Amino acid sequence: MALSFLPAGVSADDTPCATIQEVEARGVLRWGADAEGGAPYVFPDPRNPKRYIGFEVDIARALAGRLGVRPQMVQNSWDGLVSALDRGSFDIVLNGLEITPEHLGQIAMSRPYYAYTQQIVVRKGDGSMRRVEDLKGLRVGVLSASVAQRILEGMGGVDVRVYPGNVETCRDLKNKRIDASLMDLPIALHYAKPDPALDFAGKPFAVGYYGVGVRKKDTKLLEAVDRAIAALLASGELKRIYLKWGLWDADQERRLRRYSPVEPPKEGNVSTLREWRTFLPLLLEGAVVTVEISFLSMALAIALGLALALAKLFGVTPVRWASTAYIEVFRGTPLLIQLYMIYYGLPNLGIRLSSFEAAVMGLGLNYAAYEAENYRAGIQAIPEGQMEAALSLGMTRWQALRRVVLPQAVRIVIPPISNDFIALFKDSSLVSVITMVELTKVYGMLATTTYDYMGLGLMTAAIYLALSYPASLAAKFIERKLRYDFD
Amino acid sequence: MISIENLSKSFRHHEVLDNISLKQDKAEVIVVIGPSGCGKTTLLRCLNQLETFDEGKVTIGDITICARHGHLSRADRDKQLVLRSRVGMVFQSFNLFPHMTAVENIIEAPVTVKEMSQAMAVKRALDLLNKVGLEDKADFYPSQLSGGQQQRVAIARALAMEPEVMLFDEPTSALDPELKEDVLRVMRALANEGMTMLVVTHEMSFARDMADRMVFMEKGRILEEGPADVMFRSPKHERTREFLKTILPKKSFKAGNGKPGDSRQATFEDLLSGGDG
Repeated sequence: MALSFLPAGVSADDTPCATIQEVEARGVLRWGADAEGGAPYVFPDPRNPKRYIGFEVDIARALAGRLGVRPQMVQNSWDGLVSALDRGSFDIVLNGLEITPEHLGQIAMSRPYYAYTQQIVVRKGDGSMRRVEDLKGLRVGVLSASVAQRILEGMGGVDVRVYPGNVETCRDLKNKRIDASLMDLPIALHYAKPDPALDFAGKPFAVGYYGVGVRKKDTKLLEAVDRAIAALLASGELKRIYLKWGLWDADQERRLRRYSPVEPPKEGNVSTLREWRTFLPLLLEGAVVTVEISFLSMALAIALGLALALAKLFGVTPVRWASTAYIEVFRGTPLLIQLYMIYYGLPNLGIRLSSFEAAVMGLGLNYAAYEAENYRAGIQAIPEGQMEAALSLGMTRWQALRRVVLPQAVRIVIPPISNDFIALFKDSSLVSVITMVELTKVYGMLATTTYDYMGLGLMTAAIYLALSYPASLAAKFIERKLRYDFD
Repeated sequence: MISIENLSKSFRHHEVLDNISLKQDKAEVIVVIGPSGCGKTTLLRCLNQLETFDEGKVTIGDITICARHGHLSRADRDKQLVLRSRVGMVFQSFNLFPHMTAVENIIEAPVTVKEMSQAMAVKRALDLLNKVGLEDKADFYPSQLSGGQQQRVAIARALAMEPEVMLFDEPTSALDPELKEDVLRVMRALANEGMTMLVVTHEMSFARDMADRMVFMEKGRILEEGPADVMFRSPKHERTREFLKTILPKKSFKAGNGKPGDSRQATFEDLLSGGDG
């Protein structure tokens, strides 16, 4: 039963010419790509953001022209392009997809349309690095799930920082959060070359190839794409496109012509469940980060939330307003944006937090707003007579709060706060956007290389459950411990 | 002991207390009666500063607090805390701290406010529990006690601060009739020991037996005051007579059968009808 859920690359509908007939009947070739931070491949035109431009937009137009149809771009996150192709979201992937054994295990790939290399990018004036080996012991930023990430992880000894986009990598390089970055040459040419603060170090190395991804069953479509690319290369159209985007180099034509196909791996899909001894420890490493971030940020949220609630309930007017404003702003805006602003925005104001600090801060500040409201509801649920009785005994307002009202309120707020803790625990996966590699990020990285979304997903879900269930049991236990209304 | 001079308070144009003046001697027991909304509870709450007042002067012992146009001076505000710790208050709804046992309720204020040692506070708390007849309930939580027991713990809790004055705000109104007597017994004992007590209550047996003076309030004013037996027998105001009629039990079949005083109802009937009080 579970097997049928595995993305097998071979679906029930195995007619070899289905897609090319569909494309011709439709008159449209749907190509999948990610335009977010996608320059110079595919990105919104800064002068007319409704329109996409980029060298791959030009290639798609030329390719579709050869097939006698119109191109239509389908936006999809880069991590998920291969899986989305398999699911049938579009006909081809055309978005800097490297021809690698991993990709060939999952989908078929055309002959290359571009030969790329890796480029080391450093801050201007930093001449200490010339070769990839020089990166050992340094903090190096790479794009998530990129060839650069694989090269550095394979080499070992490098503190690899994984970024969701290239803009963020260059920004952190300038902010000195990382020492260098390794990226595909087209990306380096577009983002780093024009930046006066950044510089290329050493020569490009590690040639690789971008190819068009096609579903394995679409053999006819693959042949058509291969023929079209060969024709574009022969006619000089490809060269014109690359010259236009400043991506042409002397070796390009030679490399594209002399390309020898990569052998697809023999065995099909990896079953991560069967090889759990390899994969589970990797996931557990991510889980440790998740637990650390969750506990620290919840501690911050509980402490700050109490202060906010007391300020809102008992503060003088300006304090009350400030607290209310804080709560409304942090509850009313997305956590993701808060994380981006804390990590990438604050350095502009001279506050430079590590990604771990920013993750704890972001989650803690956000959840403090929710905890403040929990506390407020809990404190207001305590009858006024309790405060009055304490005051009438000569206690100060603060003593009455601390000794009489809060101990009763705590018991009321334990269920909603433990709920929030479990929610925070899962929300902690958002911090991957600021380069924290926690459980969900590890899952994503492993899944995009093994394509076993189901097996890894089951393991990851089991880890989350194994961590959150005891948390809710502990909350119930504490609630029982604090019981005082005996019948 | 207590001196109230020209005390006024209003909630949104509604005059709750209208120029009240009252003097109470040390060891005197005063019972305040009046229809609901007459301001008697507010008067008590103003005395221990749970409620601020707009105009007037309140003196308890050697502490005086003055208000003008609803404002207190900073010095007077600092006095509020001291004043409260010298005035014990017993609430209609007990207001015990539900997360503390009986003994913990009693030691709370001595330990946090007076910084008394835990051991000393517990020893005194057990004496107080003994005094209110609950020495065996020290470690019970309020939810494990009957209403009457809770109110007696509340009295012990107030006494633990060694107040100079005790205020009672309808202490038995929330109790079933059979539980009231235990609380009233404690209050009688307290009065007999010479405690200065200001009591808002409808318990006319307590008023008859213990009150040195009775005060009848209506619409934020003191309409009538005087010794209890005089007010029962011959109230000066028609309103007082009417009110007493409503809170005293209707004619009882047993009335007049026994000697005066052996049945509460009978006695009151007698008092009201001007019989042999």
